[in-house]
Amino acid sequence: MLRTRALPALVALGVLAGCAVGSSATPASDAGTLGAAVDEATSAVETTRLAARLLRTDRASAAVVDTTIDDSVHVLSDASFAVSTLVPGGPRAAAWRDEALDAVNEATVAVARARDWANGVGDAATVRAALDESAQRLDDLGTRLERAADA
Amino acid sequence: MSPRLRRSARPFPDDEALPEAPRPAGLVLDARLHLLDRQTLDVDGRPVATVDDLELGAPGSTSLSGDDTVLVAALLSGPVLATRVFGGRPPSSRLHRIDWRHVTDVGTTVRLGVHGEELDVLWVERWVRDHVIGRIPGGRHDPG
Amino acid sequence: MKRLLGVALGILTAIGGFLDIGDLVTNAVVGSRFGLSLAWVVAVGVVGICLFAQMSGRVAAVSGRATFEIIRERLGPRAAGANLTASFLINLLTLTAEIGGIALALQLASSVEPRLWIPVAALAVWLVVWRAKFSIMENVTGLLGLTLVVFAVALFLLHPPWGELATQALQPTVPSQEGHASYWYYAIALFGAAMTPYEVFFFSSGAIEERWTVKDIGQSRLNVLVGFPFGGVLSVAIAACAAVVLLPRHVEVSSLSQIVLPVALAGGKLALAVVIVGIVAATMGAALETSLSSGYTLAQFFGWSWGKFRRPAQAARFHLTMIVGIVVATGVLMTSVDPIKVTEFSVVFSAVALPLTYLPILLVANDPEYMGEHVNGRATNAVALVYLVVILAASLAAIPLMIVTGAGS
Repeated sequence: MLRTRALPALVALGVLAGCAVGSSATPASDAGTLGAAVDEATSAVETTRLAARLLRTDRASAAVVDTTIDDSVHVLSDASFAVSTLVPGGPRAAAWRDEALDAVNEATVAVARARDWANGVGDAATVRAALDESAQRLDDLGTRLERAADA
Repeated sequence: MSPRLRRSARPFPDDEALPEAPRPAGLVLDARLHLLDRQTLDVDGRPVATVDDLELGAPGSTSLSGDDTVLVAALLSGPVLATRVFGGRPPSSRLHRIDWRHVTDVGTTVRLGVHGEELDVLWVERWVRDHVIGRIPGGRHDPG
Repeated sequence: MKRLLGVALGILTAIGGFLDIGDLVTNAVVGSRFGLSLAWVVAVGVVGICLFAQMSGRVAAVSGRATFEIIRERLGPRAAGANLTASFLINLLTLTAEIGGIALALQLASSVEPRLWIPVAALAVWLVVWRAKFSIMENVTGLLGLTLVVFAVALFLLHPPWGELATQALQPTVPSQEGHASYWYYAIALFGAAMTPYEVFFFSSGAIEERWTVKDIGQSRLNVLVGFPFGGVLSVAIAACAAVVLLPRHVEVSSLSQIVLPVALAGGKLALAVVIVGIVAATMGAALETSLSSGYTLAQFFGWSWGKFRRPAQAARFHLTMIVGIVVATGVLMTSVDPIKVTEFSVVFSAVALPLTYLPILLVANDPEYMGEHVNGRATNAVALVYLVVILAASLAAIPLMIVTGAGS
């Protein structure tokens, strides 16, 4: 009787212990996690680009644009958190993590400058260029990570 | 399911007639179907409470034995709902009663012949009215 | 002429009152990630809510009793109590989401942070519940909510590829970058957003508030059968706007500000102003309905005096329940929780609670003791049974899918 009760308990304990021990992350799963964070960042930068375009063409009020960019900043900080708290499973994953962190930080700076411009500080052309560049960089990185995750 | 018995083995005669059910004068109710969980309305048609339980008793005695006639002494509402759902019984002093003599009609709702103001069952409503809602501006005015 | 106006008012109010923050957010998220490949869920949900709202309105008009009162009589205190607990908690979650939605919309209008708007929004909701007449409350929020038709107008102004949209809607496939589990998770979320449980309790209690009789069944049927489908069309328009503007840009909707960007792109500042008014009105209307629903369900279960037609002093516990509900919702929102996240949870949990809400209504609508000759016809029962199966399936699959997909991420 004790034996039949002990066995499932031991199996359960073994499974839980397996979950608790270290990081079983493969490069593909790391690429997947980083890819999701980079997608989030891409979304935020594209939202900011759209909002900036609407402000430039006078199709949106300053309040709406300011709120939109503020929300994008929050999304970027979530993405940055996800990237910086990743424990990479190998040197390749570590290199990706560094690059992703760099790209997300660049995006954060571009979006923050866009918000300044929306509030009257800075010029439209520089802001637009920075956002475009950041969007391109995130897009390239996202494509590479997606290929690595599918591999 | 009991097994089917042969005619010869049945404990009753074939042509036995079942006794007639008693047909007392007045309305016949099933306490569980028609009284429990029914909305109670006072004489003005205002909701009083839902019947959560029934207090049953024999006239003139506090204990019941086998063939005593059992009468509905009161409708119960309030905390007795918890004991109804989970089991048990609160002491008699803690029951919030609507005496049966106040009931005038039983249909889809139970109608009473008294005003809600006079009933103990509504003391929480009166308390909330006097001490919470009544104190907020506009509480005693009609809406709109 | 007056009758025609009355009929029109009923229909327009039903259209304007259909959308709430759950519909807005879920449709926009789905549009930005799945295009129109989940539009069929909106159609299924609209038919379902038409069916059950119509049933609950008929129950109230014929029997003179609200649905939840009858649920306790028919199912007993234990089953009705379980139903009450689940409905009340999910109602509270939805109320929190709606008041949060009002604050987010006011932030869009003013750039003032939502935390400062939350107490204002909560106070406004309470004041209307406290003092305003039921019919005025319904008509004003319904008609103002009708301005959300600007989403449909914006869709036209964006000159979308209609053929492609139609293909996506009529031949649904899971997009390549999303998984099957996510697809079905959002299908359930969209279903829960369309078939909001509180709507049914509100509808039947509202019928009592407005003193409907058997004569009013025809009008209510018209309101529901014309109004709700139009509301469904607006839902799909929101998804389509997101699909046309946000999906190609790889924008994933996670805030109210992103939802209105397509409207701004299409129609400029004027359209933006109109859509913000519409969102404030729709979320305000839904906040009123959910807080009233919480009061109705609790009061009807315990047999308390209830109703907006009574002065608050004559329905004291009913009003106290609503005050407590609004205060709790405000408290939760002041912890800076994201109202969009609360909304996403509320629609999924609404889907989980749907069987608890709809099965009793089906039972009561078939009961001749309350309905007399107006019990459900065979056709209604057949469709209702099919829906019961769908609802049960959605309810059982919701939580496992939420766990597997990590709440859709």
